[in-house]
Amino acid sequence: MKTKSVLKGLKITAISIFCLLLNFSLMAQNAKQVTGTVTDGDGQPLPGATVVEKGTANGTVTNIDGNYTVSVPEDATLVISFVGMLPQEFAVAGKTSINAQLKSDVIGLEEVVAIGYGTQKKADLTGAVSTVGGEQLVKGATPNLTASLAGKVTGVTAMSRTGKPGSEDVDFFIRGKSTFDDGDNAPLVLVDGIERGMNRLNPNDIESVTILKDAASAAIYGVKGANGVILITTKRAKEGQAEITYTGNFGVQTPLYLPDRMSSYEYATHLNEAIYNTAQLSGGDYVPLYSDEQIAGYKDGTGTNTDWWEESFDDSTPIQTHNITISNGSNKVRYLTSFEYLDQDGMYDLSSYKRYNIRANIDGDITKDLSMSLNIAGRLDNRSQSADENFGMINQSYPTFEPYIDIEGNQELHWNGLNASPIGYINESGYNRNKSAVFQSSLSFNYNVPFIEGMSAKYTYAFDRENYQRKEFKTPYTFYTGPDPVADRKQSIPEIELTQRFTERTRKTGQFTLNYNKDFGDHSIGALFVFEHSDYYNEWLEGYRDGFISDALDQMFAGSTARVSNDGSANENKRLGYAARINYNYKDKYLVQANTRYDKSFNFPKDNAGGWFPAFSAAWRISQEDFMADVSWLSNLKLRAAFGIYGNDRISPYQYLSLFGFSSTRGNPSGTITGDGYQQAVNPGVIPNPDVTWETAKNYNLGLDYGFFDGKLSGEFEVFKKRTEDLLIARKDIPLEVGASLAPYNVGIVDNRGFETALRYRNTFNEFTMSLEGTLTYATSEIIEMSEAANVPDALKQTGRPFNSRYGYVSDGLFKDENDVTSSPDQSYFGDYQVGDIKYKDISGPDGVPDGKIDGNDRTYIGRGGMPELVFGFNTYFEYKGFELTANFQGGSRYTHRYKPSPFVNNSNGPDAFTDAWTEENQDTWLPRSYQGNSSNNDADSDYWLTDAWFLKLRNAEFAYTLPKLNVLDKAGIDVLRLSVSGSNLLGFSNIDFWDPEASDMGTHPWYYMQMRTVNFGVQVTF
Amino acid sequence: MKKLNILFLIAIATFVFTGCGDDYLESEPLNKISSAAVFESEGYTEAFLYDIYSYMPNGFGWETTGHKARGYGRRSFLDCTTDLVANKSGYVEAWHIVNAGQTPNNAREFGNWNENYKAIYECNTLIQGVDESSLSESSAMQMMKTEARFLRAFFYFDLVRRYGGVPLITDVPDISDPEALYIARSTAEEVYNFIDTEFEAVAAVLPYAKEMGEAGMQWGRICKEAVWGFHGRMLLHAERFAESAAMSKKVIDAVESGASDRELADDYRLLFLSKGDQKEVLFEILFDGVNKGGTVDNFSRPPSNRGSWGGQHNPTEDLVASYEMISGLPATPENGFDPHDPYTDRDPRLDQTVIRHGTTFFGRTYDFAWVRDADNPNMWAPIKNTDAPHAQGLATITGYYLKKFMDPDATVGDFGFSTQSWIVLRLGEVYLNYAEAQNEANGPDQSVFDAVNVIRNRSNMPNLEVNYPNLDKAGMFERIKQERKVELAFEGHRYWDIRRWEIADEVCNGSVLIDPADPSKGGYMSCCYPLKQADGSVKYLTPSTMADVLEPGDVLQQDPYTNMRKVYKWDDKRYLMPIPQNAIDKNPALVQNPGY
Repeated sequence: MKTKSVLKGLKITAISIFCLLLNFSLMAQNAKQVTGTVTDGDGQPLPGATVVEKGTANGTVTNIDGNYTVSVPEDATLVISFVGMLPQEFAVAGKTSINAQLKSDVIGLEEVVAIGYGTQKKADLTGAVSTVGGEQLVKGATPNLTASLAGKVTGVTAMSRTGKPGSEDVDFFIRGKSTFDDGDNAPLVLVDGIERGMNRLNPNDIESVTILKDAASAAIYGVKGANGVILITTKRAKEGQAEITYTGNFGVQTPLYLPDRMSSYEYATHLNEAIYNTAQLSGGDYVPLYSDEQIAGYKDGTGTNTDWWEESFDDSTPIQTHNITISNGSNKVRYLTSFEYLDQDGMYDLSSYKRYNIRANIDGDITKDLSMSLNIAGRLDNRSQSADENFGMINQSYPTFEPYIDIEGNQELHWNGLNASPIGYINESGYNRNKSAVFQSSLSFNYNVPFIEGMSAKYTYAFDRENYQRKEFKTPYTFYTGPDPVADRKQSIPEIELTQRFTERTRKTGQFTLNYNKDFGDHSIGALFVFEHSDYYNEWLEGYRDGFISDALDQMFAGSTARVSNDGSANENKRLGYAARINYNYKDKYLVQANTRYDKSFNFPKDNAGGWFPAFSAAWRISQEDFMADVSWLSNLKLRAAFGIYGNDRISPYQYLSLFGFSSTRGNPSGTITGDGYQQAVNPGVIPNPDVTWETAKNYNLGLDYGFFDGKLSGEFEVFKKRTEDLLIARKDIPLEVGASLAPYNVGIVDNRGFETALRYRNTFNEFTMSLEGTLTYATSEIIEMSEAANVPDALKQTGRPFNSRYGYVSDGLFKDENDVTSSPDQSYFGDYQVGDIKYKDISGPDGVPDGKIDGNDRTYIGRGGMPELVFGFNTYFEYKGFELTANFQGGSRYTHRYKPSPFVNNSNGPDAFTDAWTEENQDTWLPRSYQGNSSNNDADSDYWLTDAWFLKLRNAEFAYTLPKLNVLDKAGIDVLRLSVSGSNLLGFSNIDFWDPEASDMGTHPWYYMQMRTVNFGVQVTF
Repeated sequence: MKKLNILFLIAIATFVFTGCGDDYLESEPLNKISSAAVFESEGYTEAFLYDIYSYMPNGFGWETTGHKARGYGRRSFLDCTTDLVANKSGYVEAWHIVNAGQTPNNAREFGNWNENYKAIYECNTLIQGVDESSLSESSAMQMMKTEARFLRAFFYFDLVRRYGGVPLITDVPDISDPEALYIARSTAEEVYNFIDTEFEAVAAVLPYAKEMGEAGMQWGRICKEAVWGFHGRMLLHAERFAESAAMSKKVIDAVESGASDRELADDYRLLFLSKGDQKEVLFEILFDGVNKGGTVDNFSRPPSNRGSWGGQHNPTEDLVASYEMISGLPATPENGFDPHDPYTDRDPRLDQTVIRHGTTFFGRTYDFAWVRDADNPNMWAPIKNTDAPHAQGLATITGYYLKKFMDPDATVGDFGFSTQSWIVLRLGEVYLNYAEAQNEANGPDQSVFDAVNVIRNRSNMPNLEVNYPNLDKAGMFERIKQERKVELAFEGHRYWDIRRWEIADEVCNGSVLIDPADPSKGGYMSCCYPLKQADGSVKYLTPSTMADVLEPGDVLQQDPYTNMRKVYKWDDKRYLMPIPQNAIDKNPALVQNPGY
């Protein structure tokens, strides 16, 4: 009921605004002829500059000599502008001749940037908004767009966790994490205003990426805004001649950090040493695994020394992308079409990523006031890998085993000592393919209401359909554990298995916006009303068979029906929102903006489904004040302040209802077999939380934008604070004995604080242009309140600490000698230990005071989480006579990196760092004694394995040359020919030098596909 | 054109404001059903009951697909932490428990605290749901409620024998007041009393196995005689011997009178291949190898019968040595035991339980021989890559493989292909439970002899009286201990028997192999290597024959592929498991078991 009246209220408001605006009209005045010349900063005439009477459509364009003539009222104000220049205003005040020298807009104040449901001049922004132009995302591009954003804008923290072809595994946050793991910290991503993924877009299609960082700019997205919003705008055609651009890149990829394994000599020596250590600890006899003769053979090269990595993977692999963009436009119809093809090979044959992106953005004028836009984008992609891409197995393989063995004259796979052949895993275990087909469309109509100047209405309807297919065809491979063709023959898995899963997702969105922008003398008003609804439907179907006779046919029908099984389900969600925004601007000096959104989400019970998200912001352009007119070195100074509230509703829906679910029959069925066969089971869901609602974040933002020396030096500084309340948390105050899963409760409070700053220098000396930019973002979190277990000691409480803090034991170096072992607190909690093992500090006992024993009571906070609190970027650009050099550095610090390798488990190989492990002869080292197998003492979670890490990477760089206008090119119809060499991940600096500091925490063995270093050769031709 | 504009405006306004009415957000989950609907349908209630049944402990362990597998060991048999079995792999929890023991902060208590309480929550939910249902009077609903009460009592039994007294929760908890949920541990006695009352009540209502069909129940659910059997087992743990004997007697009487159709199986080995078809079984976890399946074949077969996982559960020489001669006397030389022909004239159950040198099974005869090394005649070594002890990474470390449970017809393959049931309760155990309880309560009367003899006779072993005509109570207890050790080997009972009898100090201490191939650690060596002599005969190297078999200067090849393990140092605190630390953290009323 409540909702209905609100809805009604909004309808009335909208209609009233309409009527009110109808009453405005314009008054005519006496006309006067004004002439003049417009020149640029160097005094050269500017043809094509716009001269208009302020507040009207009356105006003209300068001719080839920069001259103009215009007829305006005597008291009119002329606005003279040109793309890339700062506009100037002149009061006519009876003058008949007005000449203007325009200065170039180095800071981009006149640039129009995307904001929520609209655009705004950069100069008019009052919130915290960053933009990146599309041209910055195509230089040394990686296939994943998210990774390309890192370091280029402030406020964004991104960690690329892997280099797997087609992987989307980038941890990406705006101004740090503000909700618990159960929630979702990912920002809202909108492509052309519609919620869509960004990772696999064609970077050539992107006009700009805008990041809305504070509530003033993001609260218009209400309940989805609290993690920040990313607006991606795709390119559109302009009126003019046909333009065809081809861009091609041919690259070579190599792994950024290769895991250095021990050679067979190192391995055999140090494994024996580990066996010795284990024998010492357990009181057993030392029985070396490798004899002195064998070790001598490994040392002199006569023994086996297999580099399993080399045997399994290619050293370098190709990547290529091709893009064609065609745009054209008449005064009625404008279109831009593009086609992208990306082909990335992985480190081995079955690993690859292929992508096809196609797009058409069409704009047409239907009548004078009515126009339409149609965006159609399609994508096919295919990620492929082996069915068993077992990186850990490769690194553990014994280097003392040959990769191949001669069986009756054939080279067959030999085992690696661990009951497998990594080469078989990689090449012969079958495939796992993920295909997607994505169709995205939106049709909008824009109507400039003719009888109300400045008012326009727009309706957009969009539907997206995504189809995913996963096909996993697991095949056995044969390997030999010895020379006997029968007894030593092993098969990796007994049966050929096929699993296929089809998923279909549909999202439909409708948006209606009413926009009003009008200047009244010194006053400028903007108003926006938005109504939006969207629904999303997801369903999937999965099938499985095994018992295939051979791997010749990888289709479902070819499998046996003996163990056939299938599964499927569906879910949906719906949202409804109303938003409004009002801007007011006085003399371009004082800017005020208010916006609000009313959102309803069906994730929550009816009474809690709707709510308001208001935001206010204001800015003062100090540099526009009269008293600053004489300060010529200051070109821009703006102070911004904002406050707003936005939300986060990303939890599973229906947590307020008491529900039962069917457990899946594929993978993990939970039913019971009876005499009558399998009986399906249902089980209770969470104990519902009838009051569940969204998380609400209150955000304060204070910003300062500045520009000096005609904008040659510019930048901004922002401080922010965000308090997120009603955080949805799994309650920890409920005893385990309750036995039920619990719905999340709105019980937590988290503060995020930080600052961002950017400093840019851009200048041109004769024909040399340079641009330097540094960005810095610092974002911390502190848990103010959360549900803690009743008995948890203070040392382990999360309250008062940052997100994802690490907990464990505090190490105190390695035991130096027997005396050190006996005189230190007892560590037998972990089992036996000895000299050379990690010593821990006695923090506490059961009564809160040290008790001379190391046990569970001694765990405490040991360090920050794995996302950097401080991220920085350094971007440079140089141009001289067609030569361009671009370099983007990105780095992070104030995070911990956890790396705890343990070699010799099952006698496996390990990182070559372990050649430096503690021994009686090698006591001055950082690695404790190694053991054959795990050491529960040394393996305990402790700060010993944490590094306060930092890194700086040359994320992308490009060196390019654009050929001068030559006759030859002209004859071929080529307008632009640009050649480039570019790369990504070219250089890396870090205090962690043996491993990728960006990788996720690594356990025993590096189980992952490392990031790639890519070198590209590129060509761009424009006809 | 003007008209077009206006039409357009109207169209938009209509679409926007009527297209999404107030009911736009009205929706129901597409993949869930409301709790109320569950209990208004017998079918859904039954489906819920089947979820609870899937919490019943499956002793084959973790690598079983589709079963919640809460119960015994997670990745290996529970008996792998006893003197009966050695696990070779470092990743099984039995190996960790033996090495480092259980602590409140590691997961080595098998996760049973959480899982049992989850199951208890579901039982309480079902019981309450049936009570509040409009169908609550239906006999099917009442039967399901009865079954839920049995299951709840069973889960409490599983908790009390692991941890001692635990919080007793018999209603669906109200989470609005956390303080009220901080329930302290009841005493073990109180928990046993609760189980006693519940078992008594549900047994009165449940049908006999043969009447289950008439009651609309399928095999795989609980029947009357099974509850009596569990009741007898439970009272044995509670040391309420007279009551225990009476309860087991109910089962025996029902079987003998024909009221129950259960009967002892003829073939001891085939019994353990039950797929719901063995009349000796009172309650079992069934598998179909498709939706739910075990992996015991995959894990336990000798490597030559299996590609990847091989023999993980290795019976020890300790166990093999404890099988009697066919005469019923201990296997010692004075009773005719020949250490170099050790498997002749033994209790037939030995060859039905373990695969040893010379066994014919899976269509092959096994040769586990070690030979003198060609290069070093003083060195005994396995023939590489055979099934001989230590011959390869997957070979046995004790000289024996598991035969009990092994299904010659199994599809040996990936996880979850095995179809033999995990037998939770069988008649054979009930006889032995009766014998023990009755002996404790009344001494070795004839009924005690009869109960043990029934089990022995099935395997062609003579009556106890033949060799032990004058057993006193203590003497009979020793015979029962012996009988349970061999009859029930690997079925998960040895673990509890060791605790009930408090004999861990004697049988667990030092029972675990340090380096099984090293005879210098004779005291710990619990394996048997057949050494092939120059004349082709075989001499068996065991702890007791070592001195005779090895010639001066002989050495044994060391097995570099076996992780070295430490002696199992028993500590009496381990008679109870530690309560997991996160349970203690979340409930201030909980008190940890002593010593942890």
